[in-house]
Amino acid sequence: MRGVHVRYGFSPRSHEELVFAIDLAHRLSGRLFVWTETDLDARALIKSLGSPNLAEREHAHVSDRVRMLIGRMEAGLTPRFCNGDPLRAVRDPDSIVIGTDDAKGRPVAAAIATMGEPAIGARGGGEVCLPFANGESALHAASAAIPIAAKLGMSLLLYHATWRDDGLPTDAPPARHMTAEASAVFDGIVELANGAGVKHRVIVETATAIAEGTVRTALNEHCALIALARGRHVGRGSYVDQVLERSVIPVLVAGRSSL
Amino acid sequence: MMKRPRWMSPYLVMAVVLGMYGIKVGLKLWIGADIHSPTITGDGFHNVADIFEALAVLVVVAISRMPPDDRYPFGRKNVESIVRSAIGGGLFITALHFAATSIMGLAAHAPGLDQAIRGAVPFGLPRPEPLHMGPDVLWWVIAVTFGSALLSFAVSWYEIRAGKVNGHPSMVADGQETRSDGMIEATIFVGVCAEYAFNAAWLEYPLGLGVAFLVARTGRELLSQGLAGLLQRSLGPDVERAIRKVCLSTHGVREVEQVKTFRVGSAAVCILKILTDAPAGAHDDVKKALKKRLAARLAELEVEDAEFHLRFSRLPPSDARVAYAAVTDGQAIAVAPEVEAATHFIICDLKNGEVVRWTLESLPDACQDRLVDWLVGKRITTLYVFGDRQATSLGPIRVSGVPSYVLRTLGLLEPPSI
Repeated sequence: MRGVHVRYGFSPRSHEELVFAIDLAHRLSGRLFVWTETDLDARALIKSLGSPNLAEREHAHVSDRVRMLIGRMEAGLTPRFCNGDPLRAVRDPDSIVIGTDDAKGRPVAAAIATMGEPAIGARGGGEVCLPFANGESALHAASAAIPIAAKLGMSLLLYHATWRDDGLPTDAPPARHMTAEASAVFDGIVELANGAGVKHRVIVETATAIAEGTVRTALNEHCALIALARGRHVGRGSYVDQVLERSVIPVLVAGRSSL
Repeated sequence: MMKRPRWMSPYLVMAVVLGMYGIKVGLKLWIGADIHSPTITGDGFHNVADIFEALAVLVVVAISRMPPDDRYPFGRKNVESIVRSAIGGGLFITALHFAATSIMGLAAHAPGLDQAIRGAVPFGLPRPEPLHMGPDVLWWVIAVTFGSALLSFAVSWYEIRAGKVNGHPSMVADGQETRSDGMIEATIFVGVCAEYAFNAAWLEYPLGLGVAFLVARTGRELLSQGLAGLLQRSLGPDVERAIRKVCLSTHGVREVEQVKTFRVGSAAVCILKILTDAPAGAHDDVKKALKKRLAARLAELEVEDAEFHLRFSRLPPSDARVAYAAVTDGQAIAVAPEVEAATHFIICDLKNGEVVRWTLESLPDACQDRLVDWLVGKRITTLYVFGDRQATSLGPIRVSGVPSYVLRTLGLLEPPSI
């Protein structure tokens, strides 16, 4: 059973992320983990005022609010409550951490930046946009995204932006400009998708702005999620960070690659 | 880019269309007048209106190439609306004339009825000549009616195809009208055959009434479309509802504040004011996607040629200031369970509910007995303490509970990943 982890917080953004996590855990038939921060110094300080059982009181307040929200959303989940930082504490690569800031980090689990949306597909889109290039990161992103797409009944939109091959005629279709390595990655993703029974289609463009092209294509094609993975050899300027900066569609970032 | 064949040139297409109408008008008015047929003459005048409409299409094709400028921000496409209105009005009058001719032609078979009608109306009614039928004109009549129908179907196919290839919706619309003309002409041909087959000249008049009705209907449509453009009538609630739906289903759009739609010629203009919370860098992406998706949706609703003017504005910031009752030993800070236990107050500036700045302040000595005044002076609206409790009030300030005493959980410290 897939674990969906989310931080509990008091801000509107934290509330949105909690709603997103409850919805996702419900739709994936997964388990919901709600994380709160621990501050031992603050606990000791407030205990000195004569307020015993602080941890229990805090847990009771948080769990009441989370359970009420689950009830309102009719999600039928039994949440588990944990203390700590899910970015560091979650070691299960099949889990998903919900949080824009977590997606910017490099958790072992996959992370989803919600971009202020209450759910995947809240606006009616039904595809996962999966950009691919020559490297292995797309295969890693596919291995994280395809099981989710299969479970949510979504299909894949494979997007590839390639440099122009000057040796080809000017009116050659963009797909002919793909390199052999990109074609091999494409075949690998298609094999994974077919294995999971996930439908797919492909859009190939001759463009150089990868992040911009990915976000623009996902918006144009009404995708509900963009799935990416960080390349292991990218030092600075990862496309993941660029997409997280400009996307308004939820972004799934695959966990630290084991490839 | 694929080169378009020369025979698809919009000017050649419209020249062919005009040539066809010229031949049809000449032949129909000649044979119609010769045999005193209101049906064929009426249809001939219908084709005169078609000539003007084809000329309007030609003008629009030429004008649509002129870019909008400071004097004409939406271009000059409304020329088409002016021409359409004029043609529509003219067709209405023509239809009335042929309807009256056909009715009086039928009434002429009952002289008493004819007299009664003429006596009842205060204006003169047409006196239709008896229909001239005979072998001397039979083949001409058949050639004109059958040939016209055939020509209309062939030319409409050519016009629609060329209109689609060249991206001129008004040409496609004109081609569709030519096809419906072909249907009228085919009906007239069948009627003429029936007149000769049963030697029933009176059939001409019900047939003439039918043609007058169809001509009036075309006139009404043209007049309505022309006036819609001139008076900038909206595209209707269904189209505007569809526009709102597409906008709200696009990521990055929070609200659609205003939708204004109208036509300039055959082109639709949509002016939208959209509220967004997308980062400024994403506005261009959202705008392009919206235009693409709206164009596709409007095409489904048969609004083929549309231009969009999108104005993005940010959601108005909802600013507020709240405070947390806090305790601190100089190192750790926690939210106090009671106001009375507080040694300090965390004063938070909120923007759309998120804390954007906070300061830890102790109650000045001079304000020890005047906490409420001090908080009011700080523009505090809500004071939070730790614990689940019913909201109460402290003077004008609302006192409410938060579920945690840990600052990070309350969003007062940045998450560790930043």
